[in-house]
Amino acid sequence: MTVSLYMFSVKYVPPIESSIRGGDPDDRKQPFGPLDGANSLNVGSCYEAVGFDPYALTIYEPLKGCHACTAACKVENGVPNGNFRIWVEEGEKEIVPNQMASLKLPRQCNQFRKAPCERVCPVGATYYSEDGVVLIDSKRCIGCSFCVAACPYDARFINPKTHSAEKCTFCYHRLEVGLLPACVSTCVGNARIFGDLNDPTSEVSKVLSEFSTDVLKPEMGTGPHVYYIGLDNTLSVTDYNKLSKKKG
Amino acid sequence: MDYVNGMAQLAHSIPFGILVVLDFFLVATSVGLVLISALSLSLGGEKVKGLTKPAAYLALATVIAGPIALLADLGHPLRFLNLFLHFNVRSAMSWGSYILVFYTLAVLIYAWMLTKNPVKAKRWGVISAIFGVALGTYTGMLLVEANSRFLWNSALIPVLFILSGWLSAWALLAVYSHWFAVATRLKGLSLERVFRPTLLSLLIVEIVFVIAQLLVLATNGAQGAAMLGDLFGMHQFTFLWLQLIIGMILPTVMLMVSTKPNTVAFSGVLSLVGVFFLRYNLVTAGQEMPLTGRVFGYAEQEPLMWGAFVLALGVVVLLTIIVPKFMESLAQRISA
Repeated sequence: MTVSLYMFSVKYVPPIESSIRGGDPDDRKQPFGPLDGANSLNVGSCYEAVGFDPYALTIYEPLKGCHACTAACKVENGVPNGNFRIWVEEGEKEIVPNQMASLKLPRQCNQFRKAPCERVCPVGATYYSEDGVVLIDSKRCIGCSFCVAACPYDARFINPKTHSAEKCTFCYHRLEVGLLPACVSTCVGNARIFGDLNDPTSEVSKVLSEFSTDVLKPEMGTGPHVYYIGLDNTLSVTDYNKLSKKKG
Repeated sequence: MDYVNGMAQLAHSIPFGILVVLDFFLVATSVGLVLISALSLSLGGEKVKGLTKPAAYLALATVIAGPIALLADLGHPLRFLNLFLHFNVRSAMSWGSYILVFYTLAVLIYAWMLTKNPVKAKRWGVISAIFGVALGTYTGMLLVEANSRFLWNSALIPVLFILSGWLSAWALLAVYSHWFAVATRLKGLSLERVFRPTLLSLLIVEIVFVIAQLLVLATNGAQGAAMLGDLFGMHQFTFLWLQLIIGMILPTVMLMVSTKPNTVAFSGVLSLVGVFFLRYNLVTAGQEMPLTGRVFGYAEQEPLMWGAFVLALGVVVLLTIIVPKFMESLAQRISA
């Protein structure tokens, strides 16, 4: 495989039907049209990231909370109970009075170009693969948790079984044999696009050249490889006025 | 997943626990003790001359106990050698591992030289003090390097760590000179003349720093307000009561109104409590502020961790009593 740089993105596919509670379907906005080759990786359509247009957000309410990516990741990578390499935050947002939009934000390691975890690791157990994926050498990791503290996305944890740090690796073991990451393969809505950014003909390159994208916490200057189309700050930005304690 | 304000959110456990806090506390106290020892040897008058040796011995004892707590906190304690086999020039912890080793060796030689040749010991005192300042700064820089945690990413942190280490060192000496003077060779030191003014001035400076930190948080918008809410809310017992009232304000008032040796020694105990919980609150509250979602981070309650904490504290007390005696008896045997 000659992939030099991986890119992971969330794609918008235009609405099939409106499910806005109390909304007029004719008022729906469609900021852009269907993507060329949108179904080349998976069949179906889903919008997993939070939306650029609140009217588009609720369209896929029937698909809300499938969490297939989370489940596939756990099975593929043997992630222990209580820990996640990928998870999907969910919420609601009032668009106009009495009209609620469903929001979803997939979270995971954002595979930085300048990863803080790689910088702070005292033994060099976190490293870049030749093609730019941030990986962990679990045999070298001493389990000091410094990388967990330094990760701006809460994307790392200490595996209670192996006592080493763990996070999303874009399923590197699958990439090495030419397969897509488990979350991409399993996404029933085809919301995740994965590919080679250096290849202008790849779907991910086309999507990124065609649509405006956002990254999480751009102010950190870390250069994430995970891009979002239509990011809404209701979930992506922490509202410090509404913090709560863990239940239980 | 937790549901917060109608949103499904994931709560994350905090990575640095009580054992890391104990390590920071002991290492900073050791640095303070070395600075006291080296300064009393080089610049001190008659009043503080008796501090030189005991402070060096206690510095050795505390710096041995600190990394024991840290090792117990590692996921793979037996892989600690990787810290020295694989150096990452950009990692504060990588630098800190080497600084800690060189510091411990320098203090060991310094304590040894004090029993043999006090003139030559001065040189090692300076070397130990230099490594000590580097070590004290490193523990602060370790937190600063995790720059997404806004409570930690401040120039105040390394300064506060060194200052509070200096205070806990004086407090430890005050406690030991009153109750364990024979075992720790701290005989003949005036609690009223030596320890009372020093502890009082350091406590006042620490209070000023903490007030400055709270004022900065108060002006830091929603994030600062949330942090203050955490400190005075979830951390009310450890921050408001143990750190501020019992650990800072009460000993300050006690030292102001009384000069009795018992009062000074007890103020030392309270100051140690205050310094420990200053670190505890900085380390844990800094991690509890969520980086994603809206749920505060939480600490795992593992019985083994608390067992290791109590064990490490026991090792500290044991070493502080054994090390002075061991060093002096060893010196006597060799010279005999």
